[in-house]
Amino acid sequence: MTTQKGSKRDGKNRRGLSDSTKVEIRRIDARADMVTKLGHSVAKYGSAAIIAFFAYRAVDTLAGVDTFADITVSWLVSCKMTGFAALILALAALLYGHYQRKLRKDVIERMHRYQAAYERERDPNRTSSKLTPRGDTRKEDL
Amino acid sequence: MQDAIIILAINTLLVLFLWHLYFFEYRTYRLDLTRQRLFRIRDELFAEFDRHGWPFDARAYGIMRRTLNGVIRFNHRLSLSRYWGAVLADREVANGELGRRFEEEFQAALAELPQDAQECVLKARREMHDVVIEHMVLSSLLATLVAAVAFCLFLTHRLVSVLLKKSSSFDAEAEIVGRQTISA
Repeated sequence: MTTQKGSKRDGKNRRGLSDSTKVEIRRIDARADMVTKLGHSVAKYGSAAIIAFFAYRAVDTLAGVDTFADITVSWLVSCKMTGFAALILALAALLYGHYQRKLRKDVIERMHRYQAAYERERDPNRTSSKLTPRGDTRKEDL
Repeated sequence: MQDAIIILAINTLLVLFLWHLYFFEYRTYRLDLTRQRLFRIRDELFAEFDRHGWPFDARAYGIMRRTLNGVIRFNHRLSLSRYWGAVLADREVANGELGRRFEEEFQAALAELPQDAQECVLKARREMHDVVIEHMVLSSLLATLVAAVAFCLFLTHRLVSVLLKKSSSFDAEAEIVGRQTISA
């Protein structure tokens, strides 16, 4: 325990920063963190609020309460918008699925060698499924 | 009227799905992707040291691995504002001492390693920076838009450069046309 504390203290000395400097750095770091969180929240919930606002305006316009129909409101009640948004959503979802799958395969490829090495070490006669390193079916097995 | 309400409901839902896809699914995906890339860099560093029999207790290896571990662990908090926060904190409070001392320590530790091992550690550091910068840009909507505009400007600049390289052919033809105009 004493040795750990000692080495920790040595580490601090090596960087040569006083406690007040470290506190100040932490303070600025926390402020930057706050700016990041605030920015993310504004982007996330701000855009949700904008969507809700225009949907509400569109309902009012349809009910005849609000007679001023701007371009965003008329877009929200148009069939063209439905097709366009559906197309974008479908494309985005397809891309998302594709890249998620690629990421999963990348992880399998990265991890499989450790699994194989460990099992070979424990069991030299270990047999293999002979799938590719990414977990795909081999071409000759198709 | 009823049709319009149905269309409005469908459109609002579609936009909300897109919003969810970007702000939740895509953000989480980017985090997983960046971590996977950083893990791969760390694994490759380990594998290279293992293959060549370079010491795992080398200081440079330790610093690089600790740095990678730090980025992997706090990747969810990484952003352009935090990056500038770290730079500003070091510059304003410690007169850049924090970064300078890290660099000195890193370079001194690197010098203890053979040339090949040094290059391997430096490659890992370069790759880590690339991954971090890509993550910071692509996980921010504003930065993505700015980067997209910058990319378009870069492409335009390249196109203009290519066109200008071929300008002598264009000039020659223009000169011929000009000569014909004079003679006419």
